Amino acid sequence: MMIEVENLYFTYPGNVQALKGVNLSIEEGEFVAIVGPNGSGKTTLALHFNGLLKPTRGCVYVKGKDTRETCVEELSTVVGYVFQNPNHQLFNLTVRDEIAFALKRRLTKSELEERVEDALSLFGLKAFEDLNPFTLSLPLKKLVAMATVYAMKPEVFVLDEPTTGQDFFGAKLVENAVLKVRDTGKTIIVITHDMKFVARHAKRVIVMVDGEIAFNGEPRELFDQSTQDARKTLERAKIKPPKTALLSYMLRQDGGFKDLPANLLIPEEFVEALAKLRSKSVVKCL
Amino acid sequence: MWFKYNLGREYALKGINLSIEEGEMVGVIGPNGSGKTTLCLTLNGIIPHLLPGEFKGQVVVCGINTLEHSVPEIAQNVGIVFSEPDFQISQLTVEDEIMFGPANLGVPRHEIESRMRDVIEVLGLKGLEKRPPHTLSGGQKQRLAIASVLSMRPKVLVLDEPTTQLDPAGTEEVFQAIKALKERGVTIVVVEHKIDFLAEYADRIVLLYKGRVVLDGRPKEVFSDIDTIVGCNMGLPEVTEIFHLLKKKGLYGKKELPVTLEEAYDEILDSW
Repeated sequence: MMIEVENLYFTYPGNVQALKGVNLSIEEGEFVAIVGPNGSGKTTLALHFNGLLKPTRGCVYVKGKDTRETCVEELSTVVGYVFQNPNHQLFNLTVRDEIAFALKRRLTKSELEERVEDALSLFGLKAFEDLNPFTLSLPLKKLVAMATVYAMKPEVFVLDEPTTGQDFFGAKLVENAVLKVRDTGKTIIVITHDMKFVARHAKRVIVMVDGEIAFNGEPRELFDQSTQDARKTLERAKIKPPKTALLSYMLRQDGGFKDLPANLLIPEEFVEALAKLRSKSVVKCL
Repeated sequence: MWFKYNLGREYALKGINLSIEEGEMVGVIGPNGSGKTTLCLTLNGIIPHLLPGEFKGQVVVCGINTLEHSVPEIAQNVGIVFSEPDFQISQLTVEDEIMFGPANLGVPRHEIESRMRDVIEVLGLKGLEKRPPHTLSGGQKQRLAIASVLSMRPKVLVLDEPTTQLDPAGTEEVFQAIKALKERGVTIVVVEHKIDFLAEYADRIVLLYKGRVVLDGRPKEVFSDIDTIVGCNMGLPEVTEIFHLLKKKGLYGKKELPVTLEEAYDEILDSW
């Protein structure tokens, strides 16, 4: 197991209870989304994965190691964290230095060179290597932040709201970068408000409400409007399913499309299912 | 209208022609850097009075030429709300925040109080009157920012990415508030990246790209021009994406594509 969370409680100073008994395990290579309203404990939970926060009660294990007994430096070689605001993470004068920074003490010069080149090329940042990260656009800053984390070769990539505040093009750029990291075989944990992103990419979704896990399962199950459980969870978390899921449910429920699956998640899937129905009905007519 | 910032290399706005009717709700979309915020700032005279640059052409709001009047004068007609409510909120309680604007305009006390009750009602801030703004949720804060502008009774409300910092619930709250204001006849200009919301609520969509108006029309007209939308690095409302795919498969023939869930549902029932 990559990450195990057992009965985790966390209280911020001032007696603010942010997590109230969270149980969770994440396996190697999973793509997990964490969703829920602001203030529900998503970031607090994720900050436990690399030991930046330590449990008030309960335990968090990263590859079997108790985070309370392991230093952040050691955990950071397993779990990389990309913060929501890249400005909080970047401080070097060039993109190249930014990526090399955390590795300088750990690697020989040639190893370092290779790592940096590898990260620059994966995120398409070669053309920007000599620029000051602060002069870059928001999506590019985000890619630089991802590249610095990637260069550390962590096994788990945690991304806190990677597409928030981006325009369509920026969000796509960051989305594609996340998929590239996924395709290198890493475990991905994404905190997000973007249900289209969840529907398209996440294999598992964890819904946080008020410091507790309200749902832990497949997106298809969460967005399935035909079950009362799913509707209740979505209501508690104040989340709306993607329009595609709503449309397929409406058509099935009220529109007489009994053969249409009720919980189609993405446009491509929906169109395919509708095309299939049409070809069936044509056969019937003949 | 043309505008170039003093430090800008090229014009941020290049020959904008636009007229907005009273009571209309106009959604302004476009990639970052296309001139959306600059356009907003020209509507209450911040450009060119406070942010100087090269300004050509003219902006007339509620019959007032912005070149001939000061920002405080124009502000009584045009209110602006920015994406970060913390930059806009300055008082220690919700009530004080709402009263601040009209008090500074010299509105009589009883009138301020009746306006306050009114905006608290319409923006759903009841019960929060005595709260310090920093204890509010993101959606509540943004509604407070709107309320504090609305209490000055502007005829036009300009919202520049009002939901960018918000979660889905906060976004929904803000759009519900915008809808309520629209029903009261306030003219609304809203810059927004969440196009699924604009598709549902706006009467009209203006697409800016590199400082120019590239598309201007009803949401259906604009989002059906897929080539232009994609060419400007913009996305489609989710249901429009579905119909675009259906069209490509030869399963849908109409020129205009649905943009809202209800339209999509009706169209599929009709054509199947």
